[in-house]
Amino acid sequence: MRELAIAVLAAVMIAAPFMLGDYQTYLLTLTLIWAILALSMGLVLGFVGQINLGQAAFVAICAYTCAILRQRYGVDFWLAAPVALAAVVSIAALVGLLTLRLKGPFFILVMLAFAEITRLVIANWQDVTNGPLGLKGIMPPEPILGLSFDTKRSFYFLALVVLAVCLLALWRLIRSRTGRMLVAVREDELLSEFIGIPVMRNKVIGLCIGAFVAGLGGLLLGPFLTILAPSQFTLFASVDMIVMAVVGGVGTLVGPVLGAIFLVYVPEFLSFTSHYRPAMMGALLIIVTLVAPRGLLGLADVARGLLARGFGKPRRESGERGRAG
Amino acid sequence: MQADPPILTVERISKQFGGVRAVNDVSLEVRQGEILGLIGPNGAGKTTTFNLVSGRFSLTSGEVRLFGRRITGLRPDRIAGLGIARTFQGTRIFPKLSVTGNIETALLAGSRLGFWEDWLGLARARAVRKSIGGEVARILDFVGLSEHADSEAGSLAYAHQSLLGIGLALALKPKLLLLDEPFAGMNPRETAEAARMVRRIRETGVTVLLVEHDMAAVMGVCDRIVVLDQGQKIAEGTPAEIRANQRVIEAYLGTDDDA
Ligand SMILES: Nc1ncnc2c1ncn2[C@@H]1O[C@H](COP(=O)(O)OP(=O)(O)OP(=O)(O)O)[C@@H](O)[C@H]1O
Ligand SMILES: [Mg+2]
Repeated sequence: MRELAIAVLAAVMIAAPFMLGDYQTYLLTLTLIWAILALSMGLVLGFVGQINLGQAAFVAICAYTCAILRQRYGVDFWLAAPVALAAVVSIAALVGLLTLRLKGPFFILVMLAFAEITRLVIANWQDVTNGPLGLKGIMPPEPILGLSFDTKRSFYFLALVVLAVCLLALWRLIRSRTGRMLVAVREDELLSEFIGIPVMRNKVIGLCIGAFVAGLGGLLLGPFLTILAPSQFTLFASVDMIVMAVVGGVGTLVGPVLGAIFLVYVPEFLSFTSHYRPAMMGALLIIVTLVAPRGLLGLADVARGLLARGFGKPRRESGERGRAG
Repeated sequence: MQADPPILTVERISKQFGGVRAVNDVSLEVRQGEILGLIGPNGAGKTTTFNLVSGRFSLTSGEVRLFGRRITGLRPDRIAGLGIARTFQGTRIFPKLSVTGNIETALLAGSRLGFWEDWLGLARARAVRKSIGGEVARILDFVGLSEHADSEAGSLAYAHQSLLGIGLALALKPKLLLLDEPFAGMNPRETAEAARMVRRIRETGVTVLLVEHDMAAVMGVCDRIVVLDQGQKIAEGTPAEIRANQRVIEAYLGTDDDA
């Protein structure tokens, strides 16, 4: 049943760009990239048990590193990408070691400061980042293995593959020993320590995994938008990721993806201008936490329960879903 | 047995909390294979002693040695790795995980499972996981929670949560087990059963240091007993000796405590 759903979804996603026009394909690609970013926030929420207002900085660091290596040093995308990912994971590890000892609001505030510092560095390091004007004309990734990515459709497939691989890799990760240790630490740090789990190391690993996935999103973001500017990586970018993860349903892999779909398409339908976006996000977050704290997936479960009762079937347990936390 | 070096040596340890000397110059030895009781009125410093041995708090002074090796100042996870497992007063488990999930977590924590082999699901990793599955069943059987294997841990009755806490500790395959009031909240029948279990734990080669307020249970299960009062050791001996000790009787009467 689940396999069937996944197969149908895969078929739809593969067929979509052939049926849709350029703009719809663009929108769908945007959704995929946001889904990757929301997923990265979901990981930090689930594995570290914290919201991370510095997540946009991880995206920016990876996106910029990759673009700068390509534009200034002529490095191939496929070489620049792993370097950028390594850079962002190293920075996350460093930042994590310094900040993850902090509890609750202090972690959040320090990560907010980290994000602002990163943004200021990007805005002021004119020689390298071109300052507030940003990097322009970022080219699609160079062809590899006979595949080129210079059309909207081919880039869509690249993003689709990255998201699919992420989901698969994280689905495995959650069930792995590392995933189980991360969940234990999130549930009870003290107890975890006494059953032999190195708490700090695991929290840093959790943050690094989140930064890695955020970096993947960043790698796609540059070529997708063709321009990178510090104004794209404000606090609101992190907030958007949080809203998507929470609206979709925290503690699952599917949740952030649903959240991304919802938050890309709803403003599209309502034709909200970007001016109202922060306010809309805030309102949405409040509504969701009040009305459906388990997000869209939670609502889906409730609906399924109601339907099942309506048809007189016994209600199925819905606890089998992966707990990214 | 007497010739064996002590498994745990606690040497003149003290812990100061602000103006309170919770533990004051306490020395004791835990011998290999024994069940040593640690008793005393409320606030005597029993839990603090556990916290000092297991690395939760730093010592104000003194030293703790495991098999002659100094463990003072090590992180709790390192001490756990060296073979000291503990339970918590009032029990501490992962309430949102299943009973099986709790034990599995502890077993996975102690397993040598490489990230990549596990992530990729290689044959060796699958074998390790299979053996962990077997161990979970064995531990749950040992602590008598087999029929609750799939329950959410937080939904268990208090006495069962306490047993699960012991199961968690056993999953570390410890050499020394510190139990902090494991019989609290149990009725007499459950207490007797749990006391028998503590003896069975010892029979598997695990040394036990037991803090407990239920005097009948302590006297019945322990080989030796150390008594603390207001942070200091006031007596040490066999259950019979402790029962007859005048200072112990005074300490307990003085606190107006039925413990
Ligand atoms: N973290 C702490 N901070 C400050 N004081 C503490 C702390 N832990 C314990 N104490 C104090 O140390 C003393 C000993 O407490 P401890 O918990 O070790 O006693 P106990 O023998 O375990 O008592 P009980 O039988 O009530 O569990 C008490 O006066 C207590 O208030
Ligand atoms: Mg106590």
